[in-house]
Amino acid sequence: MKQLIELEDHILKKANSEALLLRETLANVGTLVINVMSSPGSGKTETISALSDELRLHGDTVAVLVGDCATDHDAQRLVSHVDWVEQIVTKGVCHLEPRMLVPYLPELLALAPRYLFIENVGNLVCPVDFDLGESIRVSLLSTTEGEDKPAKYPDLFRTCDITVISKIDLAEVVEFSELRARTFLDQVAPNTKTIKVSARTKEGVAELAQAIREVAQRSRGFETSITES
Amino acid sequence: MHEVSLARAVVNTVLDALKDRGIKEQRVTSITLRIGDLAQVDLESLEFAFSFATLETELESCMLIFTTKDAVVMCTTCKQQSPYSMEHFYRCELCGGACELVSGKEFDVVSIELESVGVH
Ligand SMILES: Nc1nc2c(ncn2[C@@H]2O[C@H](COP(=O)(O)OP(=O)(O)OP(=O)(O)O)[C@@H](O)[C@H]2O)c(=O)[nH]1
Ligand SMILES: [Mg+2]
Ligand SMILES: [Zn+2]
Repeated sequence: MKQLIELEDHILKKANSEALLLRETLANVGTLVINVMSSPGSGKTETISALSDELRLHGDTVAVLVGDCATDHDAQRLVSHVDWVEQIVTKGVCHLEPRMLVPYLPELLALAPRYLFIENVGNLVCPVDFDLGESIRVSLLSTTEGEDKPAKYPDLFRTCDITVISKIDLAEVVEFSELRARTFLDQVAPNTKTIKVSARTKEGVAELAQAIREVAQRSRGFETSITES
Repeated sequence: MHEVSLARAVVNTVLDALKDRGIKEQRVTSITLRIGDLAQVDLESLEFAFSFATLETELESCMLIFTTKDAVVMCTTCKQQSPYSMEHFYRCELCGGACELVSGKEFDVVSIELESVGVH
């Protein structure tokens, strides 16, 4: 005898419930979580370092969880720019999943940083569907990778609140067309805020920090921490 | 690579559902999935990964049935719905307003089919 059972469960149900746990517990201690996603080498680590320097000037604490398929190079680069950093080595997995972050939760809750940046594995496809408990998604579009990346990977850019046009100091040498990049971005991610940044010259870093602070102030978790402190 | 994680997620979702419902002594013969056009899943790769993810589980040799869902966007300004296209993406072809995705990201286990075992 055969029997049909309706489930109507999202395939990532388990991952999504872990993401919810991360979001709720971190919001409770006043931590704003930012998921940073972009192509390999587009400037995530360098930009997070510069941004963290800027945020810490204002007295805020910054923690980073950084994912890579192999090596702890990025954690080593970040360590002098942040209050806390751990490297997640995914051994080939092309994206971060909430279960990889959960083991760091007790330490993060004790530290209760103002900001937790999650540097995803460099990849424009696979990280998109995994909620990591973040309140803000930031993508990077580097001037050196081709202006039409948003059109080629619309899903990732669409889900991001902020798109950083990174390595803006190199725009001229690589004949980057800002108009072309903005045209694609506007089609693919009409609600994304765009900020031009150079982690080298620090152009746009203060503006990016301000944009993140503004989102932070709108987010419930952050308000909780302000009223508590 | 991505599909390996997804295949494992399908297996976990179904095994959890069996446990939650206290279902025992039944073999899962098929799992029906609903996959949106923009779910970024290659069905063949998922099927291949699934055959490995189910080895030595209760789901071994169970069949995957796919139902698909077209991607549709809706304009937040004029409310017009239109099929998602790589020409317009998330801009309304009528008024140029920003669009939201109405469907196309589905990735659900719709149902499972069970067969009793050990009942003669
Ligand atoms: N000129 C210039 N170079 C930059 C800038 N940002 C990053 N770079 C350089 O670009 C290279 C890659 O930068 P990363 O910050 O490592 O890029 P990433 O996105 O973290 O790379 P993965 O973690 O491997 O995906 C490094 O050599 C950086 O020094 C920038 O704003 N200007
Ligand atoms: Mg990096
Ligand atoms: Zn419209």
